[in-house]
Amino acid sequence: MFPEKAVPRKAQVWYTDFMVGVLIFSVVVITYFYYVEHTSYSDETLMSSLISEAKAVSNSFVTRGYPVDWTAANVTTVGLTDGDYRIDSSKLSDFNSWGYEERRGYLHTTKDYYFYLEYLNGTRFNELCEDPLAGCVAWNSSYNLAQNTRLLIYDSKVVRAVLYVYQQP
Amino acid sequence: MMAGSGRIGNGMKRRALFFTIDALIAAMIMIAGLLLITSSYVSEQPKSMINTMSQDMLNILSELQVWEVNNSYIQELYDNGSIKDWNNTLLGQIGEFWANNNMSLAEDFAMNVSEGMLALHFGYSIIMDNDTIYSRTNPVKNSLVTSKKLLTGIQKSKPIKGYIAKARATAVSKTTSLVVPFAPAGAGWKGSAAAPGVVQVIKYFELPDVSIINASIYLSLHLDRGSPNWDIVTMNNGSCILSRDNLNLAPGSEGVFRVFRLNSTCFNIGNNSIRLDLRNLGYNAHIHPGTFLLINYNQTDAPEMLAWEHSERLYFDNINSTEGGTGAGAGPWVIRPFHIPTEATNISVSIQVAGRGIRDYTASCTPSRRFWGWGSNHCMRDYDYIIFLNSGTPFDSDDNPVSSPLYSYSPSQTAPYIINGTNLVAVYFNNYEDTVWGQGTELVYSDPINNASGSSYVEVNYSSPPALPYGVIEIRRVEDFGGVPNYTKDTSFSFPAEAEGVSSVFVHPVEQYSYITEVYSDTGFPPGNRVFQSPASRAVPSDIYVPLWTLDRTPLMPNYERIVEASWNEVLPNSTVDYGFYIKGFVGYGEVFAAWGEAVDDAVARLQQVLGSYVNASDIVIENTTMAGVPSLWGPAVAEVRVWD
Repeated sequence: MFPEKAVPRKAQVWYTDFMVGVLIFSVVVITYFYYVEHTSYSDETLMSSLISEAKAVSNSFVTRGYPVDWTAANVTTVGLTDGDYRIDSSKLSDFNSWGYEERRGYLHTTKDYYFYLEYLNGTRFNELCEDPLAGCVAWNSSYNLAQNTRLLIYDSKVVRAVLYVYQQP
Repeated sequence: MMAGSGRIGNGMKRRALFFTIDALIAAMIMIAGLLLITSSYVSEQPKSMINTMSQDMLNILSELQVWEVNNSYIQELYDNGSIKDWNNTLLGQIGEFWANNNMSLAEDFAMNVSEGMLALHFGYSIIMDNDTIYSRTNPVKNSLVTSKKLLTGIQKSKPIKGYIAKARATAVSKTTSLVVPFAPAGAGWKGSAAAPGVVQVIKYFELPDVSIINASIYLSLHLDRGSPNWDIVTMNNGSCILSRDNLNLAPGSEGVFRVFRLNSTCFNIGNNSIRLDLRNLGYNAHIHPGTFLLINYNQTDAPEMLAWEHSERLYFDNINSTEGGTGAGAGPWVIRPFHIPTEATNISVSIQVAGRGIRDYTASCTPSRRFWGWGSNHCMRDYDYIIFLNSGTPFDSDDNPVSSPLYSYSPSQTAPYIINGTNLVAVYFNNYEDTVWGQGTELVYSDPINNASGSSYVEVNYSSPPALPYGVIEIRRVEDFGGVPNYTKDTSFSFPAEAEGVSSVFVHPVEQYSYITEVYSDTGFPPGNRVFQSPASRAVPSDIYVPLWTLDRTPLMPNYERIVEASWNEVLPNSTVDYGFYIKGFVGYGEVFAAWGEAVDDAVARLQQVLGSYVNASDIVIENTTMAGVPSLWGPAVAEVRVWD
């Protein structure tokens, strides 16, 4: 009938409850991050990531890059065209002159890549990383491989710009 | 819940406490939820490949030109004339075939230039305004994406090359009005029935080569009837005459207002003169405000470019005052108004006043040889010549004039007194108000035909931005105030729908007796902007400039004008508002037509609509220009590429 004198009716946190609460919260956080860190991507997730990367890199190819009239001396982002789908041979030449890692850096990707141009009759040219010894990682042995193809104009001809992005298992 | 139940059972209920088991259960739920969300995340179906395919194909087709494809099929089309423009884009060429309803050729061409771009497992179609031109009809299994682009200048069933026309009137026949105002002037002093005092006012004006529809002369005069009849108005040395009896002047009356229609035969093409011969037996004869010629006419005119620089010499009327009998005197006076627009800059005004037969009055300054003016009495002999400029006090005077004096005032002398709006110059020789001390025949001399440089005039120069930057036709309309005589008269007017810009607006007050007249103008009623007030008594011109800023220049919007006579003398309903506006004399390119003749007819019709009812269409000369191959003739059409797999 009487209010309990030892526990006043006030909103309060007991020391023990507080400690328990902190402990539980810590367990939840640690568990979550442990799970996230130690659970490997599924193939589907990895593929999705590679497709996005392939899309981003090939989109970059279609642009003029930055600066728009970039040269090997001032390039920030690589683009291979004049902005109207026509490949700028000067830009392509600069791009080809770099090493594998340097190209990857200017493409702003951490993934491995394989790139070539192809006439509509199937004749390839400007094939980069055809030779793994040139610093490239062999692409055709990869299990995780994404490909994106864009249509461009090279020397008044329609060509396919084929890009593979991949990640070794 | 279990722990909670236990605590209730222990009497420890409703406490804000955490319980270990509850918290653990909640933590498990949270962890499970996070794992579930993470594991159940479904990545977006990767469509980027197919998406860019449609976009790339569309852009390639719209970028690549026909000559670049360079295969035998296209060469054949070019050779046989199916392809006319080697520099056309592939998409443009497809559109051209489609617009010409050559669907078969469009399909073959589209197939030729697009096949091979996409791998065989892709289906695609090329579409113009929902018409499928070519399609690779693979079934849709997964995704379908579309990209679109606007193609200007083409439309189905319309020729690729159309015709547009513009028209410019090089000559028009317009119906307009001209007002030739007489400024108040006098005077024939006193006199007798046998030898009345006489004032002759001669006005010269120029009439362009026009066809007069109707003409009227408004006469607001102060004169005596006298005994014998005489000719009061003589036009062009007798081509038209109005006598005293024509005015039906009642015996004893002095002020008279009459309106007479004039035949076109009264006028000459070129220089015209009107002589007013006013006589009196007592007081002085003079012109009241409201005397003017109103001529409505048709004129063949050409649009003209409005100028920045304005320069005009405005001559005084020739005022000849002849002494009558029985101790009458002679002494001419005249008011010469001139107008400077509100927006005018670089204003320069010079004045020249020439007299003839002027008396150097030297009699002693007895009380009877004094006159009252600008607040005090003055000796007649000190003011044989007085000139006022926008003020009730003299701008200059002369106490020792020669017989034929010539007074010149430079722009620097007049500049401090010039205003934007209506300016008034008032000149008196040997008289002031009701006092006269001249004799014989005295003149304010002006003969712009035979002696322009020796005449009396005001020369006005100023800069003013043109109302419109292209060739225009000016039309003027004159409307009566109407109603009944009153010391306050109101009217309203609107610029017509055809008006592209405003030229100028004047109010012409008609009064028999005037003292201080004010004019107000506004876009609302009652008009609140006072645009003119007589600077001195009786200084009331027959034309008063209305600043354009007081008006709504939007066509069909009302503008209100008010005349107030401060003496409560009546302002007559024949007072007019005279407004000018500009009509543009051209129309630009209009709709596109498949035939040259249709484009020309359209241009003519549009031009006539612009010219409106003020210009006679039958007299318009049309100048046509046609253009072909304009890229924005029709359309735009929507070009679309759909790709699916």
